[in-house]
Amino acid sequence: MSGMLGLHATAAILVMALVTYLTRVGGFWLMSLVPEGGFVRRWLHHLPGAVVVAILAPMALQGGWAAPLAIAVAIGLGLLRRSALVATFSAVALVAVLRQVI
Amino acid sequence: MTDIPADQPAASRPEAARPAAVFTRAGFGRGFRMATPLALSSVLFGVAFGVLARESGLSLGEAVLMSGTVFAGASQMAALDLWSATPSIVVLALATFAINVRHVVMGAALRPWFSRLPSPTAHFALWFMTDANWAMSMAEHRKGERDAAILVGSGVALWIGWMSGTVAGHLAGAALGDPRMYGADVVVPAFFAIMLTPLWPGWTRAWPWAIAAGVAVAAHSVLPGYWHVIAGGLAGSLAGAWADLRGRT
Repeated sequence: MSGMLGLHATAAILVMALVTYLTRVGGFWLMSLVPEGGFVRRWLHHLPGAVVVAILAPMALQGGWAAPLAIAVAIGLGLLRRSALVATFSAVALVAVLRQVI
Repeated sequence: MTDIPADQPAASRPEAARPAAVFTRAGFGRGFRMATPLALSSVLFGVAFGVLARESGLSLGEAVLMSGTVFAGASQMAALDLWSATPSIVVLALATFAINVRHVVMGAALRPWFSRLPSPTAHFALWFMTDANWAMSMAEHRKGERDAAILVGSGVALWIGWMSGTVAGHLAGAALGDPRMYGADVVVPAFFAIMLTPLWPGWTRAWPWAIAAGVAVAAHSVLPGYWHVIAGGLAGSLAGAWADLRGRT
């Protein structure tokens, strides 16, 4: 039983995979229909920051002190030009240690 | 890595001065190394997924097939909630779309960079796009990176972590404990926060970010899936573009 692939389950998983791939290429395709003019270029320039903020903001408000603390420590170390590796692990290690203590 | 100031709009650089997109082994390696902290967190989340997948009745082969081909954690977790002996394929497809539709805006933002690649290369690279390595690649692009293989290298690192976690979780079951103990749940917020620093537009131009945050938080409380990312991302970026246009005239 374990390790086997059911026919129906396999079909469901492959449909999920197809839908997900279509979302990955969908935006790339859609933008080929839009002329790369002044407004669109400015919009795309602002998009990454706005999307990351939109992902991060609800995360920061969830689950108590851990996420806001990790975000603050990571931004602080990022501003000090520490590498992403050092900054991420420092923030995570601090949360892990505090969870043991508290 | 050249140091283009983060607050310089892409539009102000002349088209000809921007190097074309490249796709090299070196870029793959840079992406792979830079994504190491994320890959370790994706092992831990993969373990959580593997444990839950087993409890939801997926076989090891099915859990591995899902992690390997879907490769999108939030939608896979949601699928487990909807899983049954004969899961409804239509319901699963709709739920998957609702959660992964945020990829559409992310892929749109890659267009100016990736459209300079051969089309098959671009379509291959986009397969590896997830939230974290997309944010990382966009941040590096803002700093002057032009090598699109950075997305693939970081994506492969995440994929390996996600797959090995899935296998370990399914085999070991609940014996591995709560990944929150190791702080696994804050790796992703911490990493996203670091990716924001090169994208920072400066204090006077930061208000579109406040709009993005406000709209996302409001939408998060009323909308299912990840539609709040679309709502906040579109609101903030359109506000920023509008402000640029008004500021120029």
